[in-house]
Amino acid sequence: MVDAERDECATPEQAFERHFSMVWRSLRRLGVAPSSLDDAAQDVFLVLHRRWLDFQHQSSLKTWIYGILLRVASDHKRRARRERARWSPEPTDLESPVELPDRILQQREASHLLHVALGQLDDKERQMLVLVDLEEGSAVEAAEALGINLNTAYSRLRRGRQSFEKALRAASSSKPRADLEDAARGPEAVDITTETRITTETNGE
Amino acid sequence: MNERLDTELSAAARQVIREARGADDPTAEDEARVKARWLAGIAAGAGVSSLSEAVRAAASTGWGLKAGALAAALAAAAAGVYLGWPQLSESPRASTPASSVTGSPMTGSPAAGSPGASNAAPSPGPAPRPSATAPVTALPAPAGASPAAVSPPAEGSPTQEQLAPEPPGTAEPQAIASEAVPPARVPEKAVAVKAARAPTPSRSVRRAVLLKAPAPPVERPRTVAAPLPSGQLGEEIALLSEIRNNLQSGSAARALEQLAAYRQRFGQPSLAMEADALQVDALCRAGQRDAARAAANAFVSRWPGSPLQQRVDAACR
Repeated sequence: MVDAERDECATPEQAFERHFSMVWRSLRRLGVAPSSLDDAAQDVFLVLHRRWLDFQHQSSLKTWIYGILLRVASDHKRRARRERARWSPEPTDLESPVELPDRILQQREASHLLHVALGQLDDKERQMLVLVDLEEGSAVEAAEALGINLNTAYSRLRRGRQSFEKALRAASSSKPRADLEDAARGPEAVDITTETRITTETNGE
Repeated sequence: MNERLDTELSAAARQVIREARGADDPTAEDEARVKARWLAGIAAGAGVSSLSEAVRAAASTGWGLKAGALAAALAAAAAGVYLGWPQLSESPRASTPASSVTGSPMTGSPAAGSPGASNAAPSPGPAPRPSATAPVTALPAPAGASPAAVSPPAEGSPTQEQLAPEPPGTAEPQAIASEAVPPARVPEKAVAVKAARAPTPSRSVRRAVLLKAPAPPVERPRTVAAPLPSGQLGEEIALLSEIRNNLQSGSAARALEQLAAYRQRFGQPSLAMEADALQVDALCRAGQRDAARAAANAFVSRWPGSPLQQRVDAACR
């Protein structure tokens, strides 16, 4: 097995083992719909596999994978927006959980807030926030993954954090604790917010 | 790291992030499912550098996942999410005759519309396909392929058993994916259920699969894992990658023999699409251009929208 402390993976399979969780989680937090997560995650690793020999170690493997997953996430969201016009929204009539420990409820609630707030950010802000504040990367790594210069990265991060704080405040005041069903249901509802926001934005540009 | 920032997150924001930690993490089943699809996706792809290692890992416990998880993954893949099972457009219950239990599930005509929308993927990615290819009898068999080879998993296939978590008549196809998910993880469960639902037209097919399965268990198992021999996916991948290696080293004739052997051995292989793609390639390289063209045409009809299409197109160039 590869040394878990090092960001070195000798094979794509090791890269998969080591980074799958991060990829999955980040795709979700970047706004990829639950129904597309499997495909998006698979795409990330197919690209990784295809380009494995091109990876030159000029950045860390993790940063390289970030770069791939950011593009894949954008692709999937763009496609989802197009398809949404033609397809009815995904059903959300899932049964709600019966009894859940407080810890899990708390996690769900936090997760719900997180997704609602992330949904309020624009794509660029969200990318920075996910890479830096959620995945605990550095702004330098994020800049590399996004192929932008460091100052731009910092300024996006700054804006992202401000928007995130604002969105979080709005979300916590408008979403009382009672509204746990939504939280339990997962961030599905968030997508609508996200998409609305993005659509507005795209139209504005 | 971020010392140049003049805006740090507030304590409250950091707390939300901390508390939400883990909420979006994949389950072991998520990981196994995606990994199986990924391996299947690269099994027939070009330029694989370390597939043999993947195969060893998949075929042994070295995968790091329980055999059950692998089985669940394969079941998910074989259910048509990736491997190109047909996506039929009719309503599940009305269109699936009970006789399907013993015969071919002629559940309907090919869906004319687009496949499961949100699943369409960039070139190497997976894409559900809309055409009706499940029923053995409805298959446009690739000219170069032996008949057995073009059948999707049917009676007796271990994969099939995986796909029958519920008895016919009460089965909801989308339950397949959700079975693999621990009940406590509702967000992930939602993911799984929706993942299964996304290509809406495929429901009837899955139902057909359910109906065809031998001796469906009466109880809903907690996972779809149990009876699949854990080595089959690994063996299939191993054989296909050997075939590809032979192709790349110029032994097209040998590859064709091996493809026939593959089909004979795995009468209803899980990686039928990958095998079909290799077949086209092998025929081209063996100089059987007409057969290759026919096989390529058959491939398009059988696997419309396949991520391997590009490869098939490029085979005879």
